[in-house]
Amino acid sequence: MIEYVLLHDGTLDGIFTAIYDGFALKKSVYKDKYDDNIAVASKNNYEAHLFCNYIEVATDSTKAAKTVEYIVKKLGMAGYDMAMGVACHFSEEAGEVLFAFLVRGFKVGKGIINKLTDKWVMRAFELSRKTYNESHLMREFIRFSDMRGRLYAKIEPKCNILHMMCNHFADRFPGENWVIFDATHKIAAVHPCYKGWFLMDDLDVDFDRIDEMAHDEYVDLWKLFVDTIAIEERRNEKCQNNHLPKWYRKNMTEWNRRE
Amino acid sequence: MFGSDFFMEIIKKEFFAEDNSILEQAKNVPYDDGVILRDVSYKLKILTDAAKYDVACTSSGVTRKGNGKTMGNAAACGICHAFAADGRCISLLKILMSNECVFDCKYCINRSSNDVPRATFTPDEICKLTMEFYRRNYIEGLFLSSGVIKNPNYTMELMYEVVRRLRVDHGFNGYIHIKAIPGAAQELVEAIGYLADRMSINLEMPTGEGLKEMAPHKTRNTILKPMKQIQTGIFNNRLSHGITDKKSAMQMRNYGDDLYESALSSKLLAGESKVISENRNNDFIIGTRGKYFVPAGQSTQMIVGATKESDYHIINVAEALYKNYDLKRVFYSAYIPINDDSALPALDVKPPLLREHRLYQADFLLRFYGFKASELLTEERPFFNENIDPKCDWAVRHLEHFPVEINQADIAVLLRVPGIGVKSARRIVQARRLGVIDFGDLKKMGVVLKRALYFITCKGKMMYDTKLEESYIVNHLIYNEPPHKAVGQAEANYSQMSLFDYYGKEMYGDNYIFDNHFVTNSKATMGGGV
Repeated sequence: MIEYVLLHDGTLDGIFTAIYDGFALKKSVYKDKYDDNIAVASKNNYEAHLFCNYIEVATDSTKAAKTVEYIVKKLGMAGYDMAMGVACHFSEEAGEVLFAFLVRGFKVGKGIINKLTDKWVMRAFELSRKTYNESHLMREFIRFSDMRGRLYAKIEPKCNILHMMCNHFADRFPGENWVIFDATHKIAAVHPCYKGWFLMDDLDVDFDRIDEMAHDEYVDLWKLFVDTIAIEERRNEKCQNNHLPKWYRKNMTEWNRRE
Repeated sequence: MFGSDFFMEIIKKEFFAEDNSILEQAKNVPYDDGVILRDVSYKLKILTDAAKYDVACTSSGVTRKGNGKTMGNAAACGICHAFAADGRCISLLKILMSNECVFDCKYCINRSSNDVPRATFTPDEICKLTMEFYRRNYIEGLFLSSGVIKNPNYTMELMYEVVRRLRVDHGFNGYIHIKAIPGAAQELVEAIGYLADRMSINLEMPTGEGLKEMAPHKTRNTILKPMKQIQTGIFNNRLSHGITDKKSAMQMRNYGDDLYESALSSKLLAGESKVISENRNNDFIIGTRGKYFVPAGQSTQMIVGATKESDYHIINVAEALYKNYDLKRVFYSAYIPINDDSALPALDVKPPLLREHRLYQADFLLRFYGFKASELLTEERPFFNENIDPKCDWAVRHLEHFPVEINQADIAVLLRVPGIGVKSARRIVQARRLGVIDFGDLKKMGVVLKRALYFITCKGKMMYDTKLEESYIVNHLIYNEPPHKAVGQAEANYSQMSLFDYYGKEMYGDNYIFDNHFVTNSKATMGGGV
C-alpha cells in the first residue's frame, strides 16, 4: 500500500533526487516495518489517490549524483543500467517499480538483476527491457537530414531515451555537427564537431520550419534504394510490420517524405 | 547546461532563427552534386535491382569503436536500419559494382546471355553513396558484390580500389562486406581481406554436380580454394591477436589508426604487390600487428530449390562448412525463377519460402543449440516437416528426453526444449539460483509457453494436463489448440485398456503406436503432480 509519493520534475536529476529523499523518508518513518509504502512519480504524469501523501521534491543535482554513485556501488553497472531503464520508462508505474527495485537491490546487492522470481524485480526487468529495446530501435531507425553540412534528426520516443543514444552517435560521427530533437520530451542533444555532446531542455521548436529548410537530395536516392532492394516475389508486409512497427515510421525519411 | 555558450548561439541561430534569410539561403544553395546524382540514381536503380537476390545483409561480428577523427564504428550485434517490403532487413548498402558479366550462370539475372540494362559504378560514386548514406544513419556500411567484368582479377582489383578509397582516403570506419569473385588471385583476396570486415564466397549449389550443371564458369574448386584461404587467414590473424577461439565476435581497434595516418601501411595496401609478396610467408602475412584480416568472419550462400538436393543434403553441407571452414553464417536463398531455362524450374514455380525458413531454423539449431545435422534429418527422412519447426519435430520424436524440470535441468537440456531460446535459457539458469521458477515467471522471461508447455515441468508439475505422446502434441502444435484443462481440474483420462488397443499394433503396423491412448498418461509419468 503506497502511503507516500514523491513528486519530481520528470528530469533524470529529479528522479534520482526523489529516490534520495525517498530513502531518507523510509528511514525516518518506517524503520523496519517497511512494506513498499513509498513511490516516486513525475508531477506531470500521476494520478492522485486517496489516503496518500504527495510530497514535491526540489531537484538537487548533488543528491542525484550521490544516489547514482550509491546505486553503482551497491548494484554494479548492470544493476544501475536496469534502474536507469526503469527510470526512463514512460509509464506511471515506473516510479513505484524503481523504488521497490532499489529497496530490494540495496539488500541483495549485485545479484538483484537475476532475481527474476521476485515480482518487483521482474517488473523492473520488463520495464527496463522495454526502454532499452526502444532505445535500440530508435538507434536503428533515426534518420538524419543534411542541412547545409549539419545533421539534424527528430524523434518522438515514448521513453526518455535520447541520452542513451548519444554516445553511439558521438562515437560514430565525431566530425559532424549534429542535433537530435526529442519532440516528446522537448529536449535536444547537440554535438558540435570534435567535441562532447550535451542536452538542451525546455525547447520550443518549429519543426515545419526546419523541415522546410532541410533540402536533401540523398533522400530520393535512399527511397529509390529501399524500394528497389525488395524482391516482389517475396513480398511480405506482415513481416515488415513486425520488424518495423508503423509507430516508428513517422519520422523516417523513406516513409515520410515531402513530395 | 554544460555546453559552450558560443555553440549554443550558433544552434539557436541555425535552428530557431527568426528571420527568413537563412531559409532563403538554404533553398537557393545549388546542390553541388546535382548533375552527378542523377547519373548515380540511374545506376543505383539497376545495380540495386541486380544485387537484391544476394541474401546476407548482416553487419554483425565485429566491435570497433570510433577513432574520434573519421566517420564510423561497428557493433558486434549488428544494426538493421530499415526493412524492405519483403520483410528483409536493410543493414548495408547492398549493390553490385557492375552487372556486366562474362559468366553465364543459369539461375542468375545478370548472366551474359540475358538482355538486361547494364551499368557500372565508378569507385568514387560508390564511396560517395556509402559515406552520404552512412552519415544520415541509413546504413551500417557497404556490401559490395559484382558481376565479372572482363575477368575475375580485373573485377576484384576494381573492388579493392573501392574499399581502399573508402578506408584510406575517406577514413571510413564502418562495416564493409565484400563478395569474393571465384577464380580471383590469392593476392587480391588477401589485400581486400585486410580492409573488409566480412568476406563471402557464394557456394551457390549444395553439390558439385549441381554447380557444374548451373554455373559452367564456376567450379567447386574455385569456390572452396579462396574459402580455405580466408579461413586460414582468419585463423592465423586471430592467433596473432591472441585469440584462439575461431568464431567469437572480434573486439578491435579501429582501422583509422593504422590506415588513415600511417603512410607506410597505406603504401603497402595501395596495391604495391611487390611489398606484399616480399612479406609473404607461406600463404599469408602472419602476425601483422594491429591489422585485422576479415575480423567479422566469412559467410556463404546456397540456392534452395533450383536443383534436386534434399534438405538433408543441404543441412549436412552447412554443417560441414561450419566445421571445416569455420564459417560464421551459411545463408539459404529460395530460388526465384527469373530465367527461362530448361535446366531450371519453370517460371511459374513459387519460391520455396517455407522450406527456406525451415532450413534457417535448423541452421540456428546447429549453431546455437548444440544439435547435429544427423539428429535433425536422416537419409530416410530427407525433408523437414512443413507443419512444425525442426526443434519441435525433433522433440516429439524424442519424448524419452521429456519432460524437463525447469528448476534442475542442465542448460544444454533446456536449449533442446521447444519454446526456450538461448536468452531465456540463460535467464532461467540465472534466476533459479535465487528462487524457484514457476510457469508465470517463464512467460515473462521470454519462453514461448504455447510450445514449451508440453515438454516441461515446474516444481514437478506440468502446466496443463497434457499427454506426452507424439500425435497429441503434434496436433496441438499444428492447430494451436489451447490445452484448456489445467492440472487438478482435469478429469482422469485413463482409458480402458481393451483388447483392440492391445492388438492394434499388430493389426495396423507401427503407425498405430502414435494413436494409442493407454500408453502414456501425463499425470502418472510426471511423478505425481496432482
